[in-house]
Amino acid sequence: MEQKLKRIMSTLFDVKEDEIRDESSIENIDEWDSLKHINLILAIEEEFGISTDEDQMAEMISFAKIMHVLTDKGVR
Amino acid sequence: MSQLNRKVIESLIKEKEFELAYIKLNESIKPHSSLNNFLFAEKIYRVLVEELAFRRFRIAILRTITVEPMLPFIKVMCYANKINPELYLGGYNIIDQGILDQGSKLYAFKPDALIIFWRAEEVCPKLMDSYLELSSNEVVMVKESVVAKIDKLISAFRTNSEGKIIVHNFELPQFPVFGIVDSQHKRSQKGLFEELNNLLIETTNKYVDVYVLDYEHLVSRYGKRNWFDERLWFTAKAPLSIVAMQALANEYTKYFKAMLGMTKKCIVLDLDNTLWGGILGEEGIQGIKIGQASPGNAFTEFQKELLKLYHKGFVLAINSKNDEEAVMEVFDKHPDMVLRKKHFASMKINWTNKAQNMKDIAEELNIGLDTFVFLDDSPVERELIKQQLPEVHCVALPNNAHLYPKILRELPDFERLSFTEEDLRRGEMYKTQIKRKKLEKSSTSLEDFYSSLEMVAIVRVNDSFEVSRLADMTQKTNQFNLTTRRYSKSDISRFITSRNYQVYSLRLIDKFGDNGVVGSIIVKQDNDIWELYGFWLSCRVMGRTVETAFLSYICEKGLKDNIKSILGKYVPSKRNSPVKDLYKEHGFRLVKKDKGITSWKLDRKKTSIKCPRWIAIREG
Repeated sequence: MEQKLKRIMSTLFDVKEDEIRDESSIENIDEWDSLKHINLILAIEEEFGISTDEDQMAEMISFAKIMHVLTDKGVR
Repeated sequence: MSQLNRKVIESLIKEKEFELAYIKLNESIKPHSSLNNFLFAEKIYRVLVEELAFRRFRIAILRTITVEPMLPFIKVMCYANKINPELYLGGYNIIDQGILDQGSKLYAFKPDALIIFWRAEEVCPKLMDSYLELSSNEVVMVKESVVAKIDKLISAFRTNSEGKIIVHNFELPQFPVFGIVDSQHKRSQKGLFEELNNLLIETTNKYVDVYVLDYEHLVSRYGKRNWFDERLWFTAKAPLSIVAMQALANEYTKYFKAMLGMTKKCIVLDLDNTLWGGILGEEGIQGIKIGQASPGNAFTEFQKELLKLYHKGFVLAINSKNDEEAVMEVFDKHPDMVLRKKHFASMKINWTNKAQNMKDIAEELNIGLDTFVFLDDSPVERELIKQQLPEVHCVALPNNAHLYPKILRELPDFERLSFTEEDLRRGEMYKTQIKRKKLEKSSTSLEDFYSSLEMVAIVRVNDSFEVSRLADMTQKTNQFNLTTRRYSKSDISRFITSRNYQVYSLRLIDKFGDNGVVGSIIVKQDNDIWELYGFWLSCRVMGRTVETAFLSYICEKGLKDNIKSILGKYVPSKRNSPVKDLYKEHGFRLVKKDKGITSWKLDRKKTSIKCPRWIAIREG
């Protein structure tokens, strides 16, 4: 799951997979803005076959926080 | 796209097999593939754009909503169609400002196309939200103000830019106010928007190069429920679902392709499991599947769809490994065949490899392979064509024939911005072309052949009824195109009304029928000098001395108008080498040569061009 998520983020934000850390977030990745965030959420939903609500969308703004939501949803 | 496919594409790029990597990538992303694929593809395409020849296209988008999440889809759909897009996005819900201000960033961007994506919710919120509070007078006022606004915007853009316009019409309300009786109610809300959409068309039709994207129709094709994403709307003012973003990006690309003159011309078809089910060689004429019952009915439907394309002016051809005699029996005798021999301009039914056949068809019809679409169920045959003739667009037909008609209908390759009379008769014209070829073979000399054609050329000047055909010809003509210039309808209209230009057209009629308007010369006048600003001749009539007749007419006309000399220019392109010596062959003198561009001059008093005796010229 970690690897898949890193791949999505790497493609979308033009960063290397091994540069993505737990604390990588909308604050410190240049390409990650509120509009690209929409594509990120949609891509994650599609990859892991889940759907998120507005609160979760707003919460998933760092690698660690996304992982947390995914784990909560039972994604392995 | 699987991880494996990604690896294959990445390694092809490493090996510098860009063309092949491009084809593989295209296969993996369409149609309606996942967002992750699109995002991956966008990244790879950006590498390929540097290596392959894509057409540049500058697209400005003005919008009333958030469309940013859709941009990757637009880019990918463009790349997949060999277009390298440059995008300009106007501010959120700002439409008027950019268009009305001459000094705006929009005009500095110099768009080739402007997309206006607006919605009734923002343009005329009153008609959506407070419709029942309005008196019928107020409704009329709002409606009229929307139409006036549209008119003002288009007119302003037309004054400041030569770019083409794609303007969305309005989606009809998913839940109109009067519910189940809305369409019957005298104040039907849905009816109001239908009326508004009609007025939009009426307004835009006053201008050239303005196209109304039938957004309402597109949305209904996919379903309003699937189109709208409430969650994205309420969190980010981005109302489109993933499905919607892909579909709309695909729809835009159809316009871009047509605007760039990248529409395909010829559909090349396999036979077994393509035009009919089963294998003729094994199952025989009674065994092949076609007709009213399943699974044959899917093939019947597919043929009907192809027939529509034939009637719209696309050329059909066959490229099949089969026994010719057995195939002819099917075309002649099978009661359920929709397509018959007469619908095909060329048939290659043999055991030669299909790449060679494809080249032969291109030569016979005298059109480029890059205007070909190839439909074959066999992945092996498709792979061969992809490797040997990458310019041909190979369309994969899946194992289940019931998808065939849909695949054909969804292809962006056959979209055009106009359908002229010539287009609607083109299939038939190519067929008579073959008859002419036969006559050519049976004639003892070329002169006999020309004479037996009984050719009559009708020349017209500045005829505004021919604007779309002439624009179309400049867009589509690659071989006989002296200056490689291409013009839109508005350009041609401008030439016609300008005092310094004259637009000549030539229609050719022969004993096999009317070939339609097949030639055009745009003359630019500078005192007593004429410059042949552009010269186009359809490839269908090349090699019949029509160009000589046309030039002789222009020369004569010049003499009457006291013109001293006529200038011509040849600008080389990838495809126009057949006309590189045209001016020389007609007595023009070389006056300048610069990087392959040659300039020619004809002194009217010294030289004249004789019209071939087998072509009669009339002024129309």
